Amino acid sequence: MQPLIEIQKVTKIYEAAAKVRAVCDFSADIFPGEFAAIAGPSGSGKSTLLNLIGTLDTPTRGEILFEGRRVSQLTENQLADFRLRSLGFVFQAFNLIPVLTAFENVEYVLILQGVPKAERSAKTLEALKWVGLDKLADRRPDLLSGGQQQRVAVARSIVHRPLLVLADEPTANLDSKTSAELMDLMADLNEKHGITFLFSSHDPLVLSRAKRVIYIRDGMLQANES
Amino acid sequence: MAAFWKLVWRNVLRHRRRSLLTCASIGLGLAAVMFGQSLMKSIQRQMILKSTGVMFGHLQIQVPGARDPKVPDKLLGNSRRYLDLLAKDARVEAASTRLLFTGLVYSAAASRGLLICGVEPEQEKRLSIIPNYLTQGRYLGESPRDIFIGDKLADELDTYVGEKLVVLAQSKSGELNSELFRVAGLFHSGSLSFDAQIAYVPISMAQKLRGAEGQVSYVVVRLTDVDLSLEAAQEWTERLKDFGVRVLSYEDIALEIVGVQKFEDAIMIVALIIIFSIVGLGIWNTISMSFFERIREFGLLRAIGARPALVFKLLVAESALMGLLGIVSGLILGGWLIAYFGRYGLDLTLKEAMSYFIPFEAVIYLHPVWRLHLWAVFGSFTVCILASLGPALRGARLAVAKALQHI
Repeated sequence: MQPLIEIQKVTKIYEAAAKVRAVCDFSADIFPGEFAAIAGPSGSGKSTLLNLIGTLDTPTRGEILFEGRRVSQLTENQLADFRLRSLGFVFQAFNLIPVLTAFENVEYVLILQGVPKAERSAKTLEALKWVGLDKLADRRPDLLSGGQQQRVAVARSIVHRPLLVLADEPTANLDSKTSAELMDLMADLNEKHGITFLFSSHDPLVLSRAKRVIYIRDGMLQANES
Repeated sequence: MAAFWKLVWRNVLRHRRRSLLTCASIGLGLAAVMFGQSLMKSIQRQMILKSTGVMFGHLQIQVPGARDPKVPDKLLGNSRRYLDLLAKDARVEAASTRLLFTGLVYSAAASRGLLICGVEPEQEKRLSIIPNYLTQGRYLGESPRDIFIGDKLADELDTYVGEKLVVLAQSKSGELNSELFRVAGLFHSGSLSFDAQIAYVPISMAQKLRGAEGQVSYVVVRLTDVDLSLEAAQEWTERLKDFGVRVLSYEDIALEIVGVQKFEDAIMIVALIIIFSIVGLGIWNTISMSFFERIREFGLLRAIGARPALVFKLLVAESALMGLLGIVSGLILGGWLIAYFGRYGLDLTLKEAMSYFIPFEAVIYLHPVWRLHLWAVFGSFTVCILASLGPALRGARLAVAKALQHI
């Protein structure tokens, strides 16, 4: 099977007061339908790696291929279009737009894609149903709990049926019960709808649910366990 | 597009007090500019109407080469043919001739140097507003020896309506001529220059005194609209180019008035720049604060697939929306101020300062100057857009990963 993502000897160096090597010569493949996690202690380079895979940042060296295509040569607009069509994101801090309702937050991705209103509404409602929030669709984020906000973020990440959902420490701001519910939800979406998930986390709960864990330390690949 | 503007609208409402203050500052700035423009132009309008009304007219036909176009030293002959030609122009409301020269006036008690203005009484009533300032007696016209003077001059000469005055003037050939007049009436214009230093007599007697039979200083024209004067002057210059005369608009003659206008316009531009700078700083501050508070949000928008231009457009549109709201409130407030002071007037005690030169009303009634107000609206909106460009460009150039980590 052709990998969905091929990470080929990727290095990321931040040049601040001193050079910081966040990711170093890292290689790995992610396959379609996977439910994988990148694990490692704080500062190990998990989030940087996820940002590089999500094209939110560019590698200093190395290449990342999506379905065999290089993305390093794409312009800002092409990268934006690529993320819009192919990727979904879930962040540690939920990152919902506070002035939009749950429905509108999820719908916004489809608006950016130019999906017609009727189709947009149907897909948005479906995504909210999948995460069990269709009854709270009209609520703004400040009227939702942390777990509910993260469910909205999950709905937003899957509403356009992306190739890959990247979740950066999705349970870090949630209590254990809510974290477990969220992981159940994402595992369910992975199994029922075949959506590929890649997490970064050091939460044992997340790692225990992942079908494959890629360990990273000091920016380098340590282990790749299924 | 609807979703974009919905987001813009909600972002503007996110910090209602801040947005309200920003809109209010734009609105107040615009209203202040509109008020200032209206006030300046209303003052200027009165200056033009009064100066053209009392002396200059809207157009004058003179002999070229006069040292001072206000009191030409070269005289014009055969003025009737110009009046006949002017009578065919639909824009001409009235036309007449005048003869101006300096002289001395004697009463039984005193004498004064003054400007003698020979006029055609019937035509002059349609040309000049001086007859409207009559306070005692009557205007010229019943007798060729009538003289019409200001009340201040009458005081200085200790003379009254019906009393005799002698006017002494030097003829063109250098001889001293004198004529006896009887005071027909007194006027009070409120301007020292007119009330104490000018005497009006029938033009036939003025020509006799000056020894200039059939000659005049100029032909003076009143148009249906003062704003036509420049265009009409150019047209008549072309039509009369073979007559050896020049046609001047009031702007060519009343250089002081034009100078004052230019000075006031320059002050208005400076005030405009100051007001727009303050408005611009206000909106820049609001949009900058909004930008810094929402860096993570912009990172999110970029992460989920928004192009950099969307972030740019979002910030510019928020500024534009606040600008539009401010402009609407400014138009309402400015329009109301102009309407209010247009109805009840505004006493700026300018009369004392202005009335030495020309009669001037104490109360200024404001009029809207929509051409200038539209420029102010355009300026306000442009300032709002320009002030947002910096933060908007920064938003568009955000590094997505870094923006998402912003606290």
